[in-house]
Amino acid sequence: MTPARPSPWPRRLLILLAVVLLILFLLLPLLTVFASAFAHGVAAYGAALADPDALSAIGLTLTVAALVLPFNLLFGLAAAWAVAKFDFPGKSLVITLIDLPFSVSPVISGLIFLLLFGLQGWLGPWLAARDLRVMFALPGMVLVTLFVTLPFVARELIPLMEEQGTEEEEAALMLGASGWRIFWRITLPNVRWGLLAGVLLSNARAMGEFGAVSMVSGHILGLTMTLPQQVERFYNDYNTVGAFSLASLLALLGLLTLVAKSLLEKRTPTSGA
Amino acid sequence: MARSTVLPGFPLSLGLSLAFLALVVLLPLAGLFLHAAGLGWAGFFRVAFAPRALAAYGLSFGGALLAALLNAGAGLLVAWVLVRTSFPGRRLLDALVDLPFALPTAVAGIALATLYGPHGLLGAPLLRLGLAVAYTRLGVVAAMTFIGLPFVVRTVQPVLQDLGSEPEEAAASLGAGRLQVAVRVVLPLILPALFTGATLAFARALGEYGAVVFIAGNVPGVSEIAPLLIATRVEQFDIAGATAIATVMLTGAFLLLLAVNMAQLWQRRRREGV
Amino acid sequence: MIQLQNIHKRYGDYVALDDVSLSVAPGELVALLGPSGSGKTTLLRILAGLEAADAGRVLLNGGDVTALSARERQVGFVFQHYALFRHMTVFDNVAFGLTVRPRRQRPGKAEIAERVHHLLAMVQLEGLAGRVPSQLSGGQRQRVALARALAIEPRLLLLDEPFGALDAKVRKDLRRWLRRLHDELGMTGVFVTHDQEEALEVADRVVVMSRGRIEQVGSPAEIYDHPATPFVYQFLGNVNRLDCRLRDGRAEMAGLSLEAPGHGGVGEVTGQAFIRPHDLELLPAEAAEGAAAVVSHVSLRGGMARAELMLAGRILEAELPRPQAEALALRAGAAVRVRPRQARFFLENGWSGAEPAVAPGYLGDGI
Repeated sequence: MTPARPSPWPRRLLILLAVVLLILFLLLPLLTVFASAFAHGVAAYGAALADPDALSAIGLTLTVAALVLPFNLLFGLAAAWAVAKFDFPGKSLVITLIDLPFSVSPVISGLIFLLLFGLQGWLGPWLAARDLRVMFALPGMVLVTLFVTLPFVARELIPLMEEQGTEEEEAALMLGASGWRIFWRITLPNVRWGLLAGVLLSNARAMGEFGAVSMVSGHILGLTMTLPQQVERFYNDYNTVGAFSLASLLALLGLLTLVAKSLLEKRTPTSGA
Repeated sequence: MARSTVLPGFPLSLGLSLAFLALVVLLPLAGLFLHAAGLGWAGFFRVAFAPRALAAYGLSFGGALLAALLNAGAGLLVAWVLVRTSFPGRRLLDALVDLPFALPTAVAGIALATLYGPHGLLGAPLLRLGLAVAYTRLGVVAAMTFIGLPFVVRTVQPVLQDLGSEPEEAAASLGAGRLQVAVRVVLPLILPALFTGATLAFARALGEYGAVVFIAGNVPGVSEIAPLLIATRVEQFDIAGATAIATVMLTGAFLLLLAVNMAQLWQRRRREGV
Repeated sequence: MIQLQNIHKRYGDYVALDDVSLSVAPGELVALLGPSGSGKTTLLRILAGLEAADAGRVLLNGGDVTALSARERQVGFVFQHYALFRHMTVFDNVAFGLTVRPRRQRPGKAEIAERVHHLLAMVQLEGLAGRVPSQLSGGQRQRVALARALAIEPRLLLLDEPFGALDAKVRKDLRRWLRRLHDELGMTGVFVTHDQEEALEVADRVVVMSRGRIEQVGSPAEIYDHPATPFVYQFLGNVNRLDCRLRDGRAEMAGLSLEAPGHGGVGEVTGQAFIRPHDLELLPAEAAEGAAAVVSHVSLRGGMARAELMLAGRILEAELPRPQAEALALRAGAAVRVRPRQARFFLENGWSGAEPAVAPGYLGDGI
């Protein structure tokens, strides 16, 4: 403490204000989710989760997330390698494009795929003639989810790879390693925690995406309803416990992702050896 | 650090990235604009600027702006408290800030609607005070503020951290009062970050759907946000209407972000030029 | 034998290397010395194959390797910040170059282990094979990087600012150690440095570079005693630079004067004179010779005293043994007389004073 410090009260007042604000405004909604889910006891909660519609929504959500993941990985790694390790004209344009899906409203993200593949869209009639369903079916849901989650892995990796520079890769090259070997043995191990963080974030978004998916899912009960869609359905049907029980799963997923991300960020080696 | 020209894999990785971006991002987005162009000017204007659509833009842009301003104030307070003070539970509070990032939007939506609803923990007392939040425009702003807060805090926090307390202490040692220190020393230094954070919060609030629709009441012309109007048009098989409104929203958002970026660039140039 | 022939390199509008040619004899240790932006690191990276030259050729032992990739050149490279693989142990780092060889050329596990341990013994790191880079000191990392580069039995060893990131004490030890190691292995080596002391102490030959061109190539003694250009003069050690005027074999500069016997030119020529601090002789204020100056600051370092002088409105630096300084009672504000023992001239007519000008009666006036 410095001598003759002014009164601590204004500071304490500001702290109090921030604490109250965060608790009322951020923590209470979270508590509401769990309180409402368990409003009628643990048995009702279990029953809500065992509902066949709920189970099929969980299954579909896992399927979509699993199908999106490999594409996200591939794109994220390729984009980060190109952007972080090389200089080329138009690089900032590419970075802008990578970020673009983040600044598009989820509803519009869904709409653009509807325009492309829907019956009134460009490819719609062609697909319909061949009896291929993209809209209101799994492929469409995977596509919009991919659009919405595309930036996550790349955005996590690019700053990390840029900070790590290219010296280690160049050193491996000077020692005679091939491109693939450099990637597998030097680059990938160096960014593994960042990569995992990016995958977890994109996964959480993929499982929780609501607006974009609801534009293209068609809301076919037991068939194209993901978890968030099912939450909406239960909620609108005044099945509060059902809605919040499923919501609690998603909230838990989000919380775990958050914790994992902060742990991973601590693990990532920052300063070069 | 110079980027490498000798590492292998550049054509492959860039080609793959561009193929993804073209197929997944650019082609669908271009489709929207081409579709809108197909409506013709007259047709486009008729649906894009119908009274109901105009009211929706007003609510979306106005609500997002109000939410961004609220977040600028609240975010600044929270960031300052998290960086400059220490008290038991501070780290937990810090983690709490990311909650809106972590909660899927539909979950946040039903939670907010319940919490601020007529029988909710916050909604009931507020209603007794004569303040209806759920199913009004106020609810829209509340939800938009909820999802935007982390953007401001997480943008301002590192800048405040890097700043250290030295400028504040230096100003205090020169005889500045606490308010003078805050307004004349700290605020100008973090203003760019605050502006960036508020812009991000604004952009997010503008396009937000899931967190808002449950609490919004969705009365056409009153509490109906533009994204919801788009979804409604699609449900009514009015693809042209949805396309036109989406085009206006997207263009408006991009122009605004562009203007903000230009303003920041201009300001940075001016400051560095002096 | 390494030959660089007419190397050109530009980045956009910036010319990094402008027609640079250089050859290095087998077994030689050469320093590329220059300030940042002089092109020395670019030249090293072109030699390694990490950058491609816009024009020019690189020959290694007579063979043209210009078109060969870094991977194929079999050149050892020690990076400025070592670029150790941070997730691998010291052993795995050193073994890396051997383990990535095509299967047919790859030594067996036992042989790799033996060679790695031999290399670690050579760089005095036997006990640390199991550590990861973050557990090592700067000097230890440097030696791991060196062992790793040597593991592939390179035809040539390149080092980028090898001591730049180390503190002064470690730096000195490593310098001596690198020199000894080089002498033992007899390997051709090129290193980049901005530190003239480092270049002069370690290298067989020094290449001084500035703005993408080679200013001078020579042994450390040649470079220091006979700088070829004003740039080299200024870059190597402290020097006083004064505007001067030469007429009839005499040079005049800021009140000082010297005979310039080599300058047989007719008429008056202006240019610049370079005088090393230890070539400025200080005399008592009552002396008859030299020009009057005022001491503005005196600092001591080891057995030497360094005096800052004001002479006709300019600041000069002089260096003299401490006993002399004490005999003159040097302190700030004291009046002295100053006289140059020798100077080097670079004149506008191109004459560069092939022989240093010498003050009358100076020869034999040893310190």
